[in-house]
Order: sequence, then C-alpha cells, then structure tokens
Amino acid sequence: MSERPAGPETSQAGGGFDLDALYESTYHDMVRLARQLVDDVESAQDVVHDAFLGLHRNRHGLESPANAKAYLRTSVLNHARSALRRRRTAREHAASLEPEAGPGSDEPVLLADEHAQVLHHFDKLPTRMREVLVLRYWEGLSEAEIAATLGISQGTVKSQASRGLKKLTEAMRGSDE
Amino acid sequence: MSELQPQESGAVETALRAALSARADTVTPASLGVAKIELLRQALNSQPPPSSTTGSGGTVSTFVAGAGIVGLAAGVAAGMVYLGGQGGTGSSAPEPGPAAHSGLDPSAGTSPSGASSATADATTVTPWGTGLAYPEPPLKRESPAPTSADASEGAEAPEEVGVIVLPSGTGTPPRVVALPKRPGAIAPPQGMPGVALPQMQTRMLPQPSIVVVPDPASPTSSTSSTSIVIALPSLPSQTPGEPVPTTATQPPASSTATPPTSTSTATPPTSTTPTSPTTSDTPTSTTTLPVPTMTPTLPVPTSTTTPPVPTTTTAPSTSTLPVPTTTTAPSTSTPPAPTTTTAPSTSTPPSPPTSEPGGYLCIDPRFADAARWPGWSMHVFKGFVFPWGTNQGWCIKR
Repeated sequence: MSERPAGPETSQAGGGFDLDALYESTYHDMVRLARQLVDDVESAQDVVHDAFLGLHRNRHGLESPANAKAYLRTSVLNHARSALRRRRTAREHAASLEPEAGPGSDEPVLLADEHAQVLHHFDKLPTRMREVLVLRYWEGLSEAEIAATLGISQGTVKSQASRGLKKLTEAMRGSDE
Repeated sequence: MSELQPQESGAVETALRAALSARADTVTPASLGVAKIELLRQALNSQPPPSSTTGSGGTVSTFVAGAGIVGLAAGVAAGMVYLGGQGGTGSSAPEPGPAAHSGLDPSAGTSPSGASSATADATTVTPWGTGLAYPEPPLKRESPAPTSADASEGAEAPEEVGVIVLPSGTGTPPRVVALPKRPGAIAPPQGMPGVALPQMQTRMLPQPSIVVVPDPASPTSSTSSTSIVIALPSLPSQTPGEPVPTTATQPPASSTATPPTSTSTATPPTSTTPTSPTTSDTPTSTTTLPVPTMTPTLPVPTSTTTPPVPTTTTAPSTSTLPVPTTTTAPSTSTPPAPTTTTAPSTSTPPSPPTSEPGGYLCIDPRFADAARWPGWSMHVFKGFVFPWGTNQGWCIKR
C-alpha cells in the first residue's frame, strides 16, 4: 500500500479552505486514484487536473470546506468516468486505428506478473464495480464513505464489491486453468 | 447474489490490494508531466472567476468601419482585450489563449472580443465588475469562433476596427482608445484603466491612412470637434523601425462630446475622370516616397454624401499636434505623445506650402493613384508629420 498523507480535510482559512495545501497533500494520491480507473498516467493526470480546476472554480460553493477532499475524490471519479466514456466513444468510431484497451505501456515492466495478471482482469470489470473495489481495497473507505462518494446506496456498494470480487476470482481461476 | 464471504474472497482481496498498490506505486513524481503540473499550479493560483459579469464600469462600444461612424483601423480586426471603465474599476491580465477576452465569465466559453462582437452598429459590452480578468484554465481554453451579424447573410462580416469607450459618467466625451500597432502587441501592464489591448488578427491588410487637416479659416476649426488621424498598420515594405502611428486621441474631460462627423468631410471627388495630380505646389521633392501603382484598397465612393472612408474618424480632441519645426507652423501646440497622431482642434493647423487657404484631406502618398483619385495632389507640410512618418501627403482640398 502506498503511503498517503493525511488530507487537509479540516484545512480552512477564513471560511474557505487552503487549496494549495490540498493540492500539495493530495495531488499525487488523486493521480494514483485516477490511474486505477483510466488507462495511463497521462490520462490520470488530466482527470485530476480537471477535478482540481473544478474545485477551484466552485470553491466558494462548497457547503463545507472540510469536505474538500471528499469533493475532490468524487470529482476525480466522475472525470475518470467521463474520460473512459469519451475514450470508448472514440474507439467505437476508430476501432481499427486504436489498440485494444489495456494496461499502460510502463506497467508490464514495473509490475510483477501476479499483479499484472490481477489488474488485467480487474480492468475488464465494469466501471462502477472497479470504482467500488478501488475505493474499498485501495482507498480503504468504508461502505458508507463509498456510498457517499459514488452517490449510491450502501447496499449497492456491497453488491458491487461482492460481484466484483466474484468476477475477479472467476477470471483469475479461468486464467490459471 | 449473496454477499461474498471473507473466507471466500480473502485471497482475491489480498491479491487485489497488492496489485492496486503496485500500480499506484508506478505513479511517481518522475512519471508525471511537469508542464501539466505547472499549468495546474498556475491555474490554481489565479483568482476564481466571479459569479457576476455585470459591473459598474464604463460602456464599451465597438464600431465597424462600414458603419461610417468610426474607422480606426480598416482592414484590421482589432479584438479588445480590455477597456477600462470610467470609474477606474479595473485592470486586466492578458489571457494566454488566442482569443481576446473582456467582460464575460470565462466559464461561459464565449468572448466579447472584437471578433465575436462585431455588428453593424455599436455593441455594448460590460466589463468585469470587479475589474479583474481571470484566465480560463489553460488546459481547457477554447477559442470561440468569430460571429457576426452579417455572417448569416453569407457575406464577410464587417471587421471591427476600433473601440470607443463611452464613460458611464456624464459630461465626459468618449475616448477613442484602440488602434492596433503590430501583430502580437504586448499587453500593457495591469492597472492601466482605459488602455486598449488590441489583438491582431492574421489578416493584416495595409490600408492608407487619412488625415483631415482642419481648415483654419473654417468656423468649425475653433470648436472642440476635430478630425482624428487614423493610423494603420505598416506596409509590408516598411521597415520595422519605421514609425507607425498607433493611437488616436483621448479628449480632455472638459471637452464636449461631439459625435463623429468627419466622414462627410472626407468626400472624394465624384468625377471618375482621371486627373493628373499637380505637384507645382510642392516646394520640396517628393520623390523619396514611393507611390505604388496598385489600386488603393480604400473604397472610393461615388457619392458625395458620407462616403465610406473606413479609416477616418472624428473625436473631440485638444491640441496634440506635433510640434512644428518651421517658422510657418504654429508654435502653440503641445508636444506630441510618442505614438499619438492627432489633429489639433484649437491650434493652427499646418499651412500647406501653397497659397491656398483651408484644410486638406490627405492620405499616405504611397497609396495615391492618380487614375483613381482625380483632384488629389502631393502636398508638403512643413513642420507637420503625418502618421506615415513624413510631411508629405496626397491631398485634396476640403
């Protein structure tokens, strides 16, 4: 598990929050989070940038500045989803030109075989399922936090996580055979 | 589907956690784009856009040359980046993007710049209320396509050529503030209200400048209303160091706002019979100025009423006539600003070397075409420097 510094969820200044501090403390974590959902680091960076800029524009509209990081996390997920949607649409129109979606070019070198195999199957899961699994097994959020982040019920979180693990298990078992 | 039991999914969970962490560890500072990070950092350090775009500043009105109201730079589309309000409400920061901007929320994706606000008449744009212009996030900025009222008719849109600032207060005349100087003009520093930041388009067509020299004997010459010299882009043959007039005048606050009326004075002859220009009244040689044989791009009107002379404008002005250097020139004029080309209203205009009294309408002689401009001739005005850098003009008596 990578080390993640504590986010300045309570960092406030004059009724607002310190966006610079939030940026410094969460930027790389947010890129890592986005990287779990999009294809490559560059796209993840773009996703996080969009999220930060959105937060920058709407910083005064936050009901509670303490929720800035949660807002940012949700924004990253939403932007990642949008990026995947756009990419899927583009691939539908240029299927012959773009390679099949897969891990980034750096991953085969940087990841161990077992990790690469797990992620290969993980990346084929539906987007919502991957989001739940990432928030649960990498971010370490509770079901309630996941539900709040994704805007779904806790029951949906449970079912998505369960079904995701089951699919992943089946896929890995099938690849072993 | 039943919930996955911990004992059933333990191995998969462990493997998934390890795999996700391993992939997260591939995201290192070295793998991130430094340029993107810097752009984001700059964007975050900028002020967020305000929620309101309505301010209390002055009204910015744009005009087109074809309207015959104000022609500041025919052939050049001058997008206004910012025009300060009368109340000094603000400054502006130039946007790094290609589109000029002023006054609209960047999140709206539109720009009230010249390219998008050209109309056949005045178009009112309200600048920022807070006086600050915020850059759109540089990663997402898109330049809006220019729009025009005439575009729907299939014709090329009239190019916006100038801007007049109409102060919000009363009793203050409008200020002509915009004239493009050169492509890629550097924006003035912040905190300069009333300074126009023209953004040059790629279309840079040379156009003749026209100077209306007021008639000293005319009763109107004693009024505050006078013609304004319009400077235009440099010719392709010009050297970089050649002076190019770039600004119009800003009238004093005590002047009375006078609507532009000089277009009627720029009445070319109606006769189409070619007339050779007379040069007998030119005491000095004029051969140093090349007279191109090309047809002037300036439209030659055939009517005697309000011909569309796009490069002529009128605004109230005080005397900022360049200081004459000869004894025949008036000595009461104030020294000129370095880039200001104005015609005086209260000072005595330079007298032509001929015995003819009265004012002259002059253009850059390099644009003169005897076949198309009957009645015009070369004149030399001692002590007077035209916007094109010499004291020689291709003139017609008013």
